[in-house]
Amino acid sequence: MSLTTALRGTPHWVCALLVLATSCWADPAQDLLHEQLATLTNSDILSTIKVLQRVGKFVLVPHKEDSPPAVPAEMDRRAGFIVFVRNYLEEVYYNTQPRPSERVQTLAAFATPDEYEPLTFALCPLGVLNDLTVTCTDLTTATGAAIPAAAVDVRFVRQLARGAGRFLWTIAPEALETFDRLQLPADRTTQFWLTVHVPPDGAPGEYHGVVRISARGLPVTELPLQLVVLPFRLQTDPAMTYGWYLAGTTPQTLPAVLADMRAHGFNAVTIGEPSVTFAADGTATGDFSSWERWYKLLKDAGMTGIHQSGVSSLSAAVVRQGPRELGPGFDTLFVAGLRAYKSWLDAHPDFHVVFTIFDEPRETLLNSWNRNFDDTVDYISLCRQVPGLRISVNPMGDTGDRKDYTPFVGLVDVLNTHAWKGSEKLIALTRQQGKPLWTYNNGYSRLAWGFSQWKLGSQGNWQWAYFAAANPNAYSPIPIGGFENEGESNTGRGPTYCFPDRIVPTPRYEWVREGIDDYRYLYTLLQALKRAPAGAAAAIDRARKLLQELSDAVPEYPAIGLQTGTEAGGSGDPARLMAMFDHFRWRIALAILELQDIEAGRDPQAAGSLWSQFSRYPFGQLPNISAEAAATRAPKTPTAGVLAVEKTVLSPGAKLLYDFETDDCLRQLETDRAGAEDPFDPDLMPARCVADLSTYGKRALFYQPQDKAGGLHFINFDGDWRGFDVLRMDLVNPTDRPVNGYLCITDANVPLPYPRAMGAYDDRFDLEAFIVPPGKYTLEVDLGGLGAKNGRLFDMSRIAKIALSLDGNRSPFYVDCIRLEKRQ
Amino acid sequence: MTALATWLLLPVLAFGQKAYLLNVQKGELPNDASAQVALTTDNPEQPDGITLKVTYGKGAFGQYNPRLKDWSSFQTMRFYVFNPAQQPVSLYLALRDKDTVDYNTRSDIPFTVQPGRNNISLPIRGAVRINGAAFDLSSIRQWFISRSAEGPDQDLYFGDIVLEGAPTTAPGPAAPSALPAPAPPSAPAAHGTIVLEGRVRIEIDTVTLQNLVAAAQAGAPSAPQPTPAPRAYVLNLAAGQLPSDNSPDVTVALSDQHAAELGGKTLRVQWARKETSFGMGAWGAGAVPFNWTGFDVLRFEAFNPSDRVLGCYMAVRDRKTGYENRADMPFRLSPGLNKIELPIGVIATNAGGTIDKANITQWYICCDQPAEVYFSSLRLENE
Repeated sequence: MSLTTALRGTPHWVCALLVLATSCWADPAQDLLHEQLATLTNSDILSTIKVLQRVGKFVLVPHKEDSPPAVPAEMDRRAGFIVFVRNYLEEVYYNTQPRPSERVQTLAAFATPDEYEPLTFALCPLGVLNDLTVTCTDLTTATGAAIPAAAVDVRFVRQLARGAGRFLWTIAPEALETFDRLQLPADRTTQFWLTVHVPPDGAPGEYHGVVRISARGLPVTELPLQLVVLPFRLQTDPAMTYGWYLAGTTPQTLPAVLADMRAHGFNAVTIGEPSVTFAADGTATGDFSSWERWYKLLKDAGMTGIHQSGVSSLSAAVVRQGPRELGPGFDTLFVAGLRAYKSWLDAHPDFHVVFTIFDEPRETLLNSWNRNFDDTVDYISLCRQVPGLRISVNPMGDTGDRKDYTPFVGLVDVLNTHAWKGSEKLIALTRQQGKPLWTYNNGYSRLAWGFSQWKLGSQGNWQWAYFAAANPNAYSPIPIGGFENEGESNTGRGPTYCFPDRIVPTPRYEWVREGIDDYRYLYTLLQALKRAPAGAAAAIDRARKLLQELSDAVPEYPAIGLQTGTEAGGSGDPARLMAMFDHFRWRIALAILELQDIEAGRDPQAAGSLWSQFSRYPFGQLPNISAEAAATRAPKTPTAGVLAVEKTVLSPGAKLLYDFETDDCLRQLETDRAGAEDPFDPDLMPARCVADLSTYGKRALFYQPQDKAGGLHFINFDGDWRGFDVLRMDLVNPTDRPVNGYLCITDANVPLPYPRAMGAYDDRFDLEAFIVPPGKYTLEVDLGGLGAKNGRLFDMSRIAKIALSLDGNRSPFYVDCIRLEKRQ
Repeated sequence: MTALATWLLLPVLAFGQKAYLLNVQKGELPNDASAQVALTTDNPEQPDGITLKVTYGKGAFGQYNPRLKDWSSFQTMRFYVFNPAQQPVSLYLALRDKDTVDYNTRSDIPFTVQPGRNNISLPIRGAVRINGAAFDLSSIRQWFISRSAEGPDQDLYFGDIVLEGAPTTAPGPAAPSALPAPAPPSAPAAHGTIVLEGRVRIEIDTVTLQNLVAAAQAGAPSAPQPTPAPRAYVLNLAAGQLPSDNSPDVTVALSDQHAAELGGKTLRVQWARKETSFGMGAWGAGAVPFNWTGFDVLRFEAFNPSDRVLGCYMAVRDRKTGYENRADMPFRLSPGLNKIELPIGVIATNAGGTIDKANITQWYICCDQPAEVYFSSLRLENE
């Protein structure tokens, strides 16, 4: 496929891509998009999407399903659908096909009293399913204990177009919606999500019930459901803070939002600052009415963790009085305002607030909400004039623009940072100094909120953002309150969708709750270990070995994913990897039971003990993956699906800048990193000339990015571009999905702060919005009037550099035949 | 009109620099919008084109942290806007630089969108803060376009928003640029004032000029006259105008009470607190002349139904005066009917300077105590 685009004029390739999507990709995705758009009440959103589609800035990417179509068994044909059970940590898309091991007919889970536990299954309809209902009976034990059906929340997973990169959307499972009856078209795989809330006083034991699936004209299908309730309650670590950065609220819905957060294990939010006014003598008076409201709301919701506020509003209030920020006269008023804060907090000792000094300190490219290291330290000094005021900073990493941020650790009460290698020193120092460590923005994985928090020694995890403003158009795929970053999605970001009349959780919000529960299981075990009597040495030893095994499996940083060795990760099978969570959770539960038995003077191995009563259940088993199945799910090579590309023919009079036929071209490349010694360092920028997928001659350049940001820099080429109309370059996207591209051009007049820079943002040409489909794609840049964003026209006799990257420098690509041509 | 029509046929001056702030044609949306914004192809004036539909109720649209922050080499902001309604709409462009911390430290450029097609060209060079201090165009942190006064929802359709540099000396086709010229040509606006040579010589400020152009293009029956009329209204109650720049504790309403004494519709003003005010800004709802030159007295009647004497003053500001060095013109309202004449031949500021009558940005009337007063229309007249 060869698609080209011009920077001016209609992007015809977009039409081709859309036609391709319509003709080759599954219609269910388009149907689901239409259903999503039909929920919207604001016609302006539809109009905008229509225009964005027209200009190629709203592209629907199909979900690629690896498994072959499932063959229905006789019982499936009678039922009218194939039912299958997949680990809820793995998403079920509209075209997902069940794996053989997933075609089971039972649901099973374990939980503790007052715990929420998800159980899911999915249907592949063999025809249209009309008036589909899914209900659950009461769950009962042989001894007569019961969990009422009302304690089982039954929802279906609505699939919505959500962001898959700038200007790209994919239909994906997003919203857990309640329903009475559904109409499901044939072949639209749909997941159903049951959440059991075990009553706080739920008796331990083995509960059974039935999930009934009924559709008009079809027999009722029954799925047996087994729930084992364990004989202990999970303990909550009082030092642990789980918090949301709140983005917008609606007073009417806020109580429900907070209650929902609490039910998901959260105990803290960000709250705005009180407004402060100053008298002529410098006396500060705070209007704490907003905090009074927060105090009551959060207390009512049981959100009793440490909330985050800031000092930026106070700083602005002082500046409005006349002093420059941190200048003469600023300190007195600022500290007076802080004292007002502290006085109010002293009067509310059960309301815990830490003040974060602005946001994410940095040394360059500061937003209005950022401050540099020196200013942040100045603010800390001022805060320290108010004893007892708890303060925090949240540097993104150990350094910012080469500035060492580790001194922050010694200056604050709580250090908040990303859980990644870039914060290695901050994390280590904070633990070393015995200060509370918080982490933030580590994503929605179960790992990040649970086992990883324990491994890090963190006492808090925060996530941007909970969008709590009630919105009837919450399912809009595009932002509707401003577009902070062009091409970004409205869907797929937050934990819920807040409508005026309901809060719709996402699967990832449920994953987060399970992560928090993982932590509570661990905490409960650790407390049991502390209480364990001396005679429990063997059980203690077993528990410690289990913790060590878990520690080995949990990575230093959550983004890495579990380290489970060849038994899971090596097989490439996500089902086995996901099963690891409950595998460890079940073993932790059994270890707790064993210690409970010992604490109560029972022999865990003896009949009647808790351990022996519950250890017979086969929870936590890892699925067996056959070699054949594993092979089909092995990680794809970069060139999967792209075997050959059409050759390019140069137009008469073309000037070839690069053909990549020899390694000499590597001297015309540049590593995008300040401080690198060699202009081209293959370790930092792994590009090499390869024989694969060449569009001109025999070789192309293959680029496999390693670092976020930056990209491939072309230098030392013939910079005299006069007399040509267009720059063309052949790209081959070897992946199976479209990706967003970025191109930058500078001339020799652009000042460079360091040799490998591309120059100031305003003073260069940037093309930030082109989509590279899978396969070959020829990028075109019109040269007429080529210039910088600030309007400066380039010196076309001295073009100096070209930078190129795909998908934020995360996606590999081939590039070949970079040339200047005249339009025919 | 003849001179104006002739002028409209002149070649468009060439511009040396041009940069897009918002490339609507390429599907770019503002990243900062509290007004409802949408891309649309439903603009009745450009049915096949892509425009940005902005529905003004409350709110504004613009860019926060714009990609292009250094505007110091540009002269004007230029864009097309279509107003499908029958009434003009008053808007303002607000600019915030790195030192802007509040309303007083930003820079506002008011303008009016006439019914139909408008080619707006706003002079950004020489922008000053509301408080009169210098503004730094090299460090733009935010810009937005807002409606001056709240009102019923109003749709406006915007085209690409571009910055342009100084015009070259020779008229002719546009200089080569990386960016295509916006569809509708616009009136040039180099330094805030443009001199036209022809059968008549007129000097008008840029904002008024673009209104003249817009009115002519929209086929308006008449454009504002370049010479002052014998009477103009600061506040025209007969036309249903209300003051739009009022303190929170002040209530204003059109009334028929005391109509006989005050000559028609009256304005009932209730000051709930002392030292609060009602009035209008230069960004007000179209009733405030930008130019008070040619008038030497501001007249109105007021009926004070109480038995107390009220101490009042009218405050006036121009683009370069801040709160402290505004012009205060005191007057007293005795019980019953009062006829007020405020001399405005030269308006002295509190700091000893003079108000630039061609650029009045705000007036308001303040009372020294809680009170209720009925006002007539406020008129600009000559002795």
